[in-house]
Amino acid sequence: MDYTATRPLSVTASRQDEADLILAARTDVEAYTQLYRRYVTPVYRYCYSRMGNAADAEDVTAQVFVAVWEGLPCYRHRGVFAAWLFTIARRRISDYYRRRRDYLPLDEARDAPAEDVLSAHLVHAESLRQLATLTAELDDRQQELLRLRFAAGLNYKEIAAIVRKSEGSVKMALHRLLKMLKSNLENEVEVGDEV
Amino acid sequence: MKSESLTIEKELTALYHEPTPAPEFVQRLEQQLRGVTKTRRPQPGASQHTWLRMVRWAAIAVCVFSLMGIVAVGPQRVWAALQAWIGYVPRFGFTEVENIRVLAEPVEMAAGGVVVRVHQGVVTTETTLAFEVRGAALPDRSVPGIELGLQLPDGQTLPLRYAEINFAYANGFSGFLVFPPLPLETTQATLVMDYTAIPGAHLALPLALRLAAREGFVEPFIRPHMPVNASDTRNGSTLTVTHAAYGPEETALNLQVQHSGEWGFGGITFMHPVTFTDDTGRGYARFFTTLPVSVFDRQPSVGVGQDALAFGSVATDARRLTLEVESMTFYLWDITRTFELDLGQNPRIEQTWPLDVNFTVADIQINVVQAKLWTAGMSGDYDSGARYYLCFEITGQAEERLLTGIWLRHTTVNVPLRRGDFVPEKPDTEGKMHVVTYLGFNELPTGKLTFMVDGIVFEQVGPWRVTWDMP
Repeated sequence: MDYTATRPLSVTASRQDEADLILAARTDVEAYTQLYRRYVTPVYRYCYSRMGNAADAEDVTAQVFVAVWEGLPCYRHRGVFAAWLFTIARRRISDYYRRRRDYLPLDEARDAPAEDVLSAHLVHAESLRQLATLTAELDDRQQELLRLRFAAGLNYKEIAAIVRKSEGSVKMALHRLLKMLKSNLENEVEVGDEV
Repeated sequence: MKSESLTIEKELTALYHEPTPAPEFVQRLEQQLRGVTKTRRPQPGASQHTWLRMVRWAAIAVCVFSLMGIVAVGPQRVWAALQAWIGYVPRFGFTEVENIRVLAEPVEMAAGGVVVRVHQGVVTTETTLAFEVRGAALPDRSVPGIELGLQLPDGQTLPLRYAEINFAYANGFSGFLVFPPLPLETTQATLVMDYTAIPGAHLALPLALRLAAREGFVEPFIRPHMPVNASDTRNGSTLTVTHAAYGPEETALNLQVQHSGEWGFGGITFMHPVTFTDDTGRGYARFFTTLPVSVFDRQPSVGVGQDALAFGSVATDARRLTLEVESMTFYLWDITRTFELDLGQNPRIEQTWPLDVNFTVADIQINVVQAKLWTAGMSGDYDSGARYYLCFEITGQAEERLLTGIWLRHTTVNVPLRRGDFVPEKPDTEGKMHVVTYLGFNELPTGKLTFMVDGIVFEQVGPWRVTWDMP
């Protein structure tokens, strides 16, 4: 089977293809390489969105894929491989912060750097810059939902598995969040225009 | 002007897709993963969570957790409210009283000649799910291979976070398994323990959890005593006994350490001599187990640390208690000292380079004396899977401080896994320490390399002597 696929996971191969790939990747280095190619970009983007610099994002991305290789024999596929993968990524990032900063909260969900990360993106368009400011003002859980959805490219089911909520509640939370962001962004533009 | 055409999803996608991994990074990592998968191929059917691994990880976890055991007090009102609801759960630690789930009753199971008993479990609202397990000794008292997981009713399995199991007991084993938090509403789970080397030894222990207490300090909680003026200051560090729980089987003390340095408190480990006595002259043995739960770990801050110790149960006629701690561990991150080493163009395995790198951190004079090139196992197998290391000889001297660990990082070659490439060792009798730093695999590095000192660990010599009255 040809496992080649380097597109974002949300538009990649079917579930069956992924299940076959994961099964093969337990023992076949080539299959594992394909799995790596499929996920390396979203994992990196997610890490970058949490860490704010390329060196650390690369470092943790590398650790994630070694951990995934080591953990594959224990992994039981139930259709949410991405959730398992990003749970590992979240944990690695938490470990990173625990080791780097002695005063960060121990709760994994709260140990992302809040303001600096998104401001580091320095997006070019004015609306994107305003959006970056707005998202940086969100609380950590809201930011994490956005990162999992837009940086990691996960679907609602996968996000739900990671944050241990129902798919419906994730959908609703994201829907409200986007609505609020859109509304705030429009207000910002209006105020900016008036000024 | 309202931007009617704005599609927020598109904008967010653009925002978060700004960073794309560099193609050379993706390619290099792929090559390195191929190397890793050749040399670290997992065995089909063998668990990642073998007891051997668990014990190794437990040791690492104890070190890391003790180093990370930085804690502090938050805003006064929040802290006061928290204090009012702190209880002690025997063998587990200090925790809040409300919304804690505990095991409804102990569960025991036998299969394939193996007997395991889950004695107690504590689920806090935040991050900890800890179970105390005990089991019969295996025939040869070996460390068995076990696949471990906690199955939830929805089929999801929580992986083990860390374990601390002692297999050395003649009459069996005992210790803790710690998992990630359970969803708030979950009251049922199954602890799966698969002994891979023992036919038929597949255990699935059904665990039922109950809310421990809605109000008050009912079983299993012990209301802790908060001693008054139970502090001692030595060398700028103040040790305070903030809570003491006097149980029928054990006495647990929560300790707070405050200091003015930039460093963090690393805990009072089993290496530190500690005595606990009463006014009648009795001494109480320290329990050499880690308390896996602590409510005090939630609000860390610089300059304040916490640790909890457990001892034998205090005698009923004791009126005054004394804790004496001879030394404590501290650590310091983000030192950012660098030094260089020129390996030349043709370095040989076991070649030694004399160095004389000196710097001072936390008033400790640190000297990097020499470096020796080394490879994994020293087997002569220098093929594509070989890993290369440098072993540094380091000394550290200061008045009433002893350097016990140092974190070195190789910065020149951008190898993945470079963080964590340290093996701090206890200094030998001459005060020398050997630190192994990972250089990478596949290629023997040459030329000038730069190393960064990320952090150090040191012991502050006391003693601290804290005395308080029983309630």
